[in-house]
Amino acid sequence: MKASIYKNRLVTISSILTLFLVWSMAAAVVGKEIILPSPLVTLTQLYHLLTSGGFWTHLGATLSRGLLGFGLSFLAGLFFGLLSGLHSAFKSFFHLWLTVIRSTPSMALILLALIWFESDAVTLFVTFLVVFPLITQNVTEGLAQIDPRLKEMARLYRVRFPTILYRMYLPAILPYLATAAAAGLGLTWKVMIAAEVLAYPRWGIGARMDTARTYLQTPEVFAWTIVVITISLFFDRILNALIRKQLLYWE
Amino acid sequence: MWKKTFITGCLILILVVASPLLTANKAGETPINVMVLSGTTGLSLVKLLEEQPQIAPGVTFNYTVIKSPDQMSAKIIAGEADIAAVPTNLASILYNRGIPVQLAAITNWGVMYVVGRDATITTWADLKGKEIGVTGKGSTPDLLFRYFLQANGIDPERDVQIRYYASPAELAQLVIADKVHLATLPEPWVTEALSRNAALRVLLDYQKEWARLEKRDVSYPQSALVVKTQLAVEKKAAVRAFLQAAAASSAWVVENPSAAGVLAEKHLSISSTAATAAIPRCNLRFDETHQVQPEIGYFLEKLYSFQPQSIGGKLPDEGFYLQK
Repeated sequence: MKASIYKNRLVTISSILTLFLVWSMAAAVVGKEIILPSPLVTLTQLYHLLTSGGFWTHLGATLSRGLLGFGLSFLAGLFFGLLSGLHSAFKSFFHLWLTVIRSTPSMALILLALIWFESDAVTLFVTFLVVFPLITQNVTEGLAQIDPRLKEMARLYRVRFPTILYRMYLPAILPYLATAAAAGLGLTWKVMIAAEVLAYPRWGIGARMDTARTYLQTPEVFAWTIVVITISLFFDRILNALIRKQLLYWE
Repeated sequence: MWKKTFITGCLILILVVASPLLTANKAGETPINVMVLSGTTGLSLVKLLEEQPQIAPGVTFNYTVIKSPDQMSAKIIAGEADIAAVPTNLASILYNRGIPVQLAAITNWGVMYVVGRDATITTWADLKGKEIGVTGKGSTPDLLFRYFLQANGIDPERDVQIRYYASPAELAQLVIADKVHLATLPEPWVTEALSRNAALRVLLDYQKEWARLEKRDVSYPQSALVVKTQLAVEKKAAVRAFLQAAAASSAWVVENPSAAGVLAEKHLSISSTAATAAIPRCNLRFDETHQVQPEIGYFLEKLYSFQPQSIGGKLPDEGFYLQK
């Protein structure tokens, strides 16, 4: 056990080292910071960002916007997912809508939102439309997995609805909800940054990335990208930990 | 069957690979690639785009019209553009980032205006308390706008609501549709907006405000031509001849707005009526760098004081300016 953990660590470390090595070599070959900055230049830039004023405001703005967008999508997805999972009429009714929304390119959503709303609303709107269908469909699917005989039994024994919800439906949808939440949160950051780049809110990582691009500060674009990757990984970890705890509890 | 397909495939491949070689060899040597932006920077060179004259013996000039400044910087960084029209501050950024280009000429002296329907706005101080659309956060138009506000006792953060938009094209559409009531726009979008919404007026003029505040006879050098350093050295005569032809084209455009408008519609996708009406507001004046170097230096210093990164973090050294 211990040996295998050690071995895993070794693989991870060598993976990171290889990444940096390939990156450094590519940067050396290209030889232009404006096209591909080296890891060293990028990390120095990242340090400057972290210590500069405004960094935390931009980070906070993107984080709060992302979490708000994700939270709204999650709640709405849970609600509509339960509705369509419990009543097949709702499911058929929403099916077309969800398929249309999911098939719309997120760039098209952003472009339309730019015409309709102001910048802060654009980012929320787009995140919602991307993440909400994902959650809804997963919840619906989770409910579809419940054994019909179990449902029949609950009906025959006149089990009260809250109990059914808590004891039967929730355990059924939880694994699906967990997968959807992880995928949805990952998508949230990607879509949020794309929307911020185009919508240009006063504060936000995407807006800073665009300014850096305007000034051809490629190292800064790289540094912000690292910040976004870190955010994404951080929340992925937290979510995973939460899910593991919750699933254990249910089992 | 397969054999035939294979042979056809090979032939197509050979053609595709060889075709650039064929065109390049036609003139006997590599042509000089001139790239202009489809806006007012292209406007002054429109006569060259139309006539494609033989400027220097044995040298061919290829002209390309590029849609956005982003694509233009990509072409310059990749070394595909030999002579390119860019905003003056972008030229400085490129030079400071180690891209071997030199500033050869200034093509226009400011094309920025504040447009809206509220005729009570006659001075910059009247903007207090208003909401106004601006394009390109951190771009020259944005930096100058904030500077003019401050110079007129208005705090850009508190006393006005600045909303940012991605491009002048987008902002102009919103202004025409009355969704944005006040906006800073460059030509030819000013004319585009005025011609499609009769209630709109040109309220304020960046160029006049700059001249007034800075106590200068001229406005600020907004757009420029850059030349690849290597080309400027190796084909000095051809570059010089090109700059003279470009100056002649610019002068012709100013004197013949209606004829130039027709050419603009053909080459730059601006409608001819809009282009003709826009030309007087474009402040086209072609000056080679050595004629106006103090003005350029002054402008860059000013931009540096607003936001150092807007010119690439430092003032460019003497090597930036193409000498006679």
